[in-house]
Amino acid sequence: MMFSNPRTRSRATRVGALVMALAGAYALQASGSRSSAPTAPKFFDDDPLTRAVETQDASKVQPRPISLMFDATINLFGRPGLQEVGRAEDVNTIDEVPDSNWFTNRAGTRPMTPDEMYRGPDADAGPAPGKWIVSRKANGVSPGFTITDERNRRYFLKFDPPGFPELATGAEAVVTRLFHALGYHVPQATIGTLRRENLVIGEDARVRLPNGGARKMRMSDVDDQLRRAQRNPDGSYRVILAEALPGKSLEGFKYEGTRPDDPNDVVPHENRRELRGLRVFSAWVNHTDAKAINSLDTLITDNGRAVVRHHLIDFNAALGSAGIGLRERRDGYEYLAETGPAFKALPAFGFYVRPWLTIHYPSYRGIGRFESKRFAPEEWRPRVPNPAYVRSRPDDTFWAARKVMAVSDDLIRAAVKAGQYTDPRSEEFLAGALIERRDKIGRAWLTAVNPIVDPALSESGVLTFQNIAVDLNYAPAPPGYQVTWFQFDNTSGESTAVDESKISDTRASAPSTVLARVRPDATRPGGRGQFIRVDISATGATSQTWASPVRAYFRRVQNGWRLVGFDRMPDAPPMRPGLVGAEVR
Amino acid sequence: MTRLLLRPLPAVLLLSFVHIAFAQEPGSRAEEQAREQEAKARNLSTYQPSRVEQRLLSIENAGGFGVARGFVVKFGDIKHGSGFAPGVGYGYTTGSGAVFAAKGVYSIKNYKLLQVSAQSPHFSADRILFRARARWQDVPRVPLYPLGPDPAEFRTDYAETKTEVTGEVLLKPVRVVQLGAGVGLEWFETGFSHKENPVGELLFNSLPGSGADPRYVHSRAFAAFDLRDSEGYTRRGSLLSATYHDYRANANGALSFARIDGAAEQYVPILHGNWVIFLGLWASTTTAAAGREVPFFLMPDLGGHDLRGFKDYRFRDRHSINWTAEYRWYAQEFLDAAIFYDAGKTVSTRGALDFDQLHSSVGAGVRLHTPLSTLVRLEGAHSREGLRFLIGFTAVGPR
Repeated sequence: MMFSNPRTRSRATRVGALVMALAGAYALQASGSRSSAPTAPKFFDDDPLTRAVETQDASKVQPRPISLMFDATINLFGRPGLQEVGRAEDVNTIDEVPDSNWFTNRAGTRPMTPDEMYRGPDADAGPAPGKWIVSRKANGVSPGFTITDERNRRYFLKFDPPGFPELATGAEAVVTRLFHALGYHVPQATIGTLRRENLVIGEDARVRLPNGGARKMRMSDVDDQLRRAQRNPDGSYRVILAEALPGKSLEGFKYEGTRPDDPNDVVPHENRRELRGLRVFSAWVNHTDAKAINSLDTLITDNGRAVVRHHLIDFNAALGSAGIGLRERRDGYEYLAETGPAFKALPAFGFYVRPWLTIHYPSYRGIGRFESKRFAPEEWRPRVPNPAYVRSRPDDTFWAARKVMAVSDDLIRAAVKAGQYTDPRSEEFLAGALIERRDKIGRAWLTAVNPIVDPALSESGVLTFQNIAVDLNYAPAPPGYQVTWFQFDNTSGESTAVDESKISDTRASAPSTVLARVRPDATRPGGRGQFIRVDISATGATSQTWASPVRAYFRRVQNGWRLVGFDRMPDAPPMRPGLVGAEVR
Repeated sequence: MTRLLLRPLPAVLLLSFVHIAFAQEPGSRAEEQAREQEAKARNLSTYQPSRVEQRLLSIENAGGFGVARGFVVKFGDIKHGSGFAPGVGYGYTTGSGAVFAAKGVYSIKNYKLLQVSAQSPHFSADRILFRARARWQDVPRVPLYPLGPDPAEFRTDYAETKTEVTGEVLLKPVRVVQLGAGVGLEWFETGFSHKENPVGELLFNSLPGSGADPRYVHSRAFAAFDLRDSEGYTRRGSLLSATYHDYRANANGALSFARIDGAAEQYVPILHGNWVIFLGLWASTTTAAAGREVPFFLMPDLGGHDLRGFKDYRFRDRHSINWTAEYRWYAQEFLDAAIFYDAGKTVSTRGALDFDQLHSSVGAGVRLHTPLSTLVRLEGAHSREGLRFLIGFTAVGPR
């Protein structure tokens, strides 16, 4: 027998151990888990990524209908999603959101013109004049149609509610443009005019019957829809026209978890910064209805690969509109079922008066219940708690607030102009209110955390940075800053403090000892190069949060130093989902 | 030969291990993300909604809770005073929007109801609707007190079984006006059900219509001017309504009579509905030709759901009047609290139908509601006859 020889047996044992180790290594690799992370360098050569990669074919993703009632109930009375709140997981190493099928950086990343804002996502001017063929009526409480024009392009039509001209269509047009500028994928929203006589029922148009069946659509079905819409004095209807998004509809995305059938969807949605930051953008425009069914995933082909693109849709219930009428006074101030105020109100015999009940709204045509004087950004909340919003940390809201601040007065006016309000006072009021709300957002969220931005290290070793809260006059300049220099080993992730200095300006020179001591490490992928870590905090500032340092990492490049890492809250305490945003545990 | 093969193997395996171990580390951030996606691609699954989510989704796809389709749980819609009355219903909606439904309800006080109903589609842009139903209701013990404006607190019980087949048409020429008319056959069987109480039996036997078991052709017509948001729940608006009933009894018509019910309700919202003052006034009156009587079980009654500090059916006579003043405040979007004052009386002559010597009660409660309907009212009310706790499933007032 081969194994009767002790020496052979010994060798066989060693071979077995090696085979097992080999199998273990394969298994470890095959698991693809993040267990390999501790051995990976902190920074790779391609950091920071400006575009997230999507490598897998998603063609097998199936539509996933979402129950409005279920989604609302679990969010009103539970906290679905991960219960520990950490840093957003989709940010790149400099704390920014890379472009992806979720988000495309626009305002604040590159210059935008008012013309570009006015155009928004609109790919064309809407359906061609002539007969419009109705193929489907909208489901739900808001009236609407799907029509096809003579070029065979498909559009969705939505109306203003009766008695409220320009309210819903104006909100949809303006907010679509603002959200497009902020970076989201949104459908077209062109304001147009519908005449009943231009409508033709399509051969294949069907309506769903109450018993679940279907029958051929009739003109009376169209009239049923039109009866629920605001009619112009000349008998026409002002409508929002949106060309159908390309690709296969996959229904909406949830704000927690991932799509289990989308291989590229690996970051839990509640941990995506653009969804956490949506809290800030929604507060700005009073978009209280950002829920799962007001989103839409589509299966598209991108660079020859089937991938899922994620859109936000339906902004007709934003600003002062509820889509089907004026928004509720509660909207934006209290959840649909919030226990805290209820427990105060119940024993108070009505003498606990919610502040939002006393707000006066101007009565401009098409504006509805929208204002800026009583707007408190940090207190703002949607109708139903949003899993991503309640996990938004100060670094998420800071990121979003900075985006909002990048939308200039001129850009806001261009977006409002797209609402085509017939009363110039409406346009003026809305632009003014959005500007004031924007500034309140900046004042609230750019000061709530250490507001140092844009750190840079010159070739000669001069560190510069900005304090955006001070630059925008939202806070007084602190007496000084503390700058701590570290030698950083990209392979081990270890930092060694080298020097510390206090400065009174936003400029500091790197100590020669730091520049001299940085060493290349070429033993690991991404380890090549020289790295410096700098922690910067404000000293003597009125806000305690400014004393917590931001952390920047620079890599030596050919002509100087390149920012490769940034963390606004490196020492963040453990957090949990809160009432409106993340709270410290 | 074996030795030759085995000799280089450890080195080869070791090298492979080293290679694989280092291959663990991605070479770039893009590669790191790609690996996560690759890993997920190996473990894809289809989203499986929970049973609750599936059920809610099917309800939404069918048009919401308002669309009758399949089996559902039902509550109430039985003679008042039933207590908690759960049941099962089945509904079917046709393609045209007509609805056929059936339900059975059984209460904790042994009240029973079986009903089949049909409703036409809404015609003429929701202006016309036809309804019909066949219904059997059995109540083994209905509280019975002496008639009159201030009867002694002496209670006995009677049993009542009502079987009916009715049809009606509802018209809504404009949004705030409702008109309706209907006709039906109604059979009543009553009997004394408190055998251990001989004095009670004397009372029962002394009442008009006791043991008569009449069969009626019941015609009715009503008109309402309704500015409320909804019949089931509102924070503003007014209601003015009147219903005329004509009861034609079989045999010699000795129990034929007419009845008129009137209602006036006003909801006054203050500070956008933070406070609501509700004032309601209801009156019912009956007329019978000479030599004819109004059976006691179809007389107006008060107590329980309207005069809330008193027991169900505490007052009963030919005519009734009652009013309610309610101060309601907003606790939360779906929750109101209220304090209220009820007053009313029943009298034997129409001339006594005034606001003198009304019985009164005060109380407080909370209401859970949707924007259009009252889900549940929990109330406590106090009168000279003590404290009562009530659970209601409709808005305040006679329904």
